[in-house]
Amino acid sequence: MTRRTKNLLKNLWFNLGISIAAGNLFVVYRFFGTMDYYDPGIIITPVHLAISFIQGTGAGFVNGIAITFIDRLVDTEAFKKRSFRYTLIFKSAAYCVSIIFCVALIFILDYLLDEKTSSGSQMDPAVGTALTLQYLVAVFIYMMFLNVSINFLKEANKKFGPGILFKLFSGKYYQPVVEERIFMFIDLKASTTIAERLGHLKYSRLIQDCFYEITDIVDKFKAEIYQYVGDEIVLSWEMDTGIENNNCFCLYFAFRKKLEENRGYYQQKYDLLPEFKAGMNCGTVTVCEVGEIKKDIAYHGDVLNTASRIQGLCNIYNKEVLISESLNKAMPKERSFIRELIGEISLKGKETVVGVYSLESV
Amino acid sequence: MSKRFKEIRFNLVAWLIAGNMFVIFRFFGMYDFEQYFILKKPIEMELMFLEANVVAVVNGLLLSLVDILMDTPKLKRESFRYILTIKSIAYIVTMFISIVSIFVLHGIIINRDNNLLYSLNYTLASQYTIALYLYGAFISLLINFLKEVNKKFGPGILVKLFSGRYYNPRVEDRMFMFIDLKASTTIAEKLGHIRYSRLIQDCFYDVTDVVARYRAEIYQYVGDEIVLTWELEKGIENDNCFRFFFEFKKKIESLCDYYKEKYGVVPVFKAGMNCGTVTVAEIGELKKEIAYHGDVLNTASRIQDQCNQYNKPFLISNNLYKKMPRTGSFRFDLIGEILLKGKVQPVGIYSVEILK
Repeated sequence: MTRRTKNLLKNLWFNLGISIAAGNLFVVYRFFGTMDYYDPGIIITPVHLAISFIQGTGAGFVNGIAITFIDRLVDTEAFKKRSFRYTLIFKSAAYCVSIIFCVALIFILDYLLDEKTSSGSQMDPAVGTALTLQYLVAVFIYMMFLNVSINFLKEANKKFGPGILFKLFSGKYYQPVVEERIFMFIDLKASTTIAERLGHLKYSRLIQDCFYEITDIVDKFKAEIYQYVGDEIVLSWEMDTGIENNNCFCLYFAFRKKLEENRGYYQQKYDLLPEFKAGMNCGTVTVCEVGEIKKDIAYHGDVLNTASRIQGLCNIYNKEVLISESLNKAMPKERSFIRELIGEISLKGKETVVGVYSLESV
Repeated sequence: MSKRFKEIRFNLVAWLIAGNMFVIFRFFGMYDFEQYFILKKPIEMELMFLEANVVAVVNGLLLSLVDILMDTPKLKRESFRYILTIKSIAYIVTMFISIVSIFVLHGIIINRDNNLLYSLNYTLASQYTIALYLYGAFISLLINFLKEVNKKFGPGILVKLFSGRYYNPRVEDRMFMFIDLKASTTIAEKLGHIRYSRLIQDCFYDVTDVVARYRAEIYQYVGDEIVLTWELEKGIENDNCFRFFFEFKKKIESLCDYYKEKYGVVPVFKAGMNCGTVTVAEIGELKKEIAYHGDVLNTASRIQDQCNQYNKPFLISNNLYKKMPRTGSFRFDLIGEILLKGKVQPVGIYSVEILK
């Protein structure tokens, strides 16, 4: 299964789950307790809750598939680079259409099920249904509300970096937790010179372009974007995820390859090919929520400082990627990468010395 | 506008919308066609909307009260699970009151005898209560989620991202402050990993109010460092950017007992500031952010590095010195023209102190 199919399926299960749950919830909101309204005997036609639940599930199912389809439609480069707003307008229009289908489905289900179960066959089939125009309005508003909420949830999740929002919401890092992680500091080579040459605005555009470019690769190699600091991106992996398939090593080379593939675009627009250098390290850090406004999940520890300093050595040794001794030990030996000890650094304020290795892809 | 007021207003608006939507979901079309209806009597929609709005206000206010009562520094330092449990119980009780009040209100309107007793019985017996509870839980979840999202982005950022204002980079005049914990390495070693992180958490919570009061924006947290930014006018107005630093310092000093008891140290912060032209741009697709680019930031960070060297808590650049009006509340001392790391031109640096 390709990554794309996997993501699509994941999205489908998520949408189906929420939509079906919401469909059933609607039945609860609308019909629970209608039988025992304030004045006894107010009800003429008892509500068949079972039928309603089947309808709710059916409509939820169709809606789940519809929004997965719509998500797939906007999952193109053209939409990706746009701001929130454009995607949202397009999606809202698409939701309107899909909801009308769902409402039609409820209508049909109601008609079919009512035929079979209702003992009152004397009812005029044309009106033999609890569906009326106002009811349709209620259903429409409910589904619109639902779809916009799902959409907002997903967008927010993406904007924060996948999973971060859930971590914040679930309070996982409310108290600091110790974790083993890998960190990569990756930044633009010769950024000062480039900034001077391109000028403010064009330089920012270049950064925008490069950072968009890395998105797919980050997803593919299961990294998390921790922070953007100027022209620098700080990436992080859980230890196992980073080691698995050499994810943390492959990411850098895949990113470089992608930039090279788009050489034509960069040459034409900026008259240069952006090159990045990276420093990596792994070890124990603490993870915790910080701040009340602009809340964030933060990593604290020497591991990060060291990674950043190792990256600073790239220029000195004229290497693209440098890794620390501890990461060198943690990563299994593979023939596709060459690692060489090239120097050592002393840690700030400490006696210990850390070996630095260069990393090259074969 | 105070933070509390904004919170209450947000709760009220959200519950009012939710209440009216519930009436639509539940009652729209219940009694439409004369030939066929579920209910014997038509539902008086106006009455239902009226009830929903009144109860939404009651519910919104009660839940705000719960939020406010629970927003104490003491409770904030408890475990998340504990807070969640307490809050859930409080919400369940509050919503019970709100649900009973729906039926009481209805009883008052239709002049029912034994109203309160009847309403209580009805609440406990009817499946309607389940519907209302589930709806209430769903809305609460949604409201809290929205609040979390807004907190995460920082006020106003969500709107900026949504409107696509910085989809193309723009040039702006801003000031930046880099503020970080003094002697952080030593403190980290002394406290150990976890307690050091707690200290950072505490300090960063304490900065929140001060940030809001002096109209700063939090740009980023980088380790033990906070990067703050102001639009030029907002920072100049009332000396906001200077007052921020000294007010934050004062706040930490006022909590000195707490810090001493818990960590054995009172954190001290140092800051460097600069102002000038930066570009502002939306970056990234995953983890989308508003980013500031430019030499101005770099210089601010370098100026902050000089604090230890000159043993001053607060250093600013010549640029900023020239921009700020002389209000007489602060004393400026020229430290010198200093060649900062990675720069060709030396930068004039001043230290700032507050005059009592």
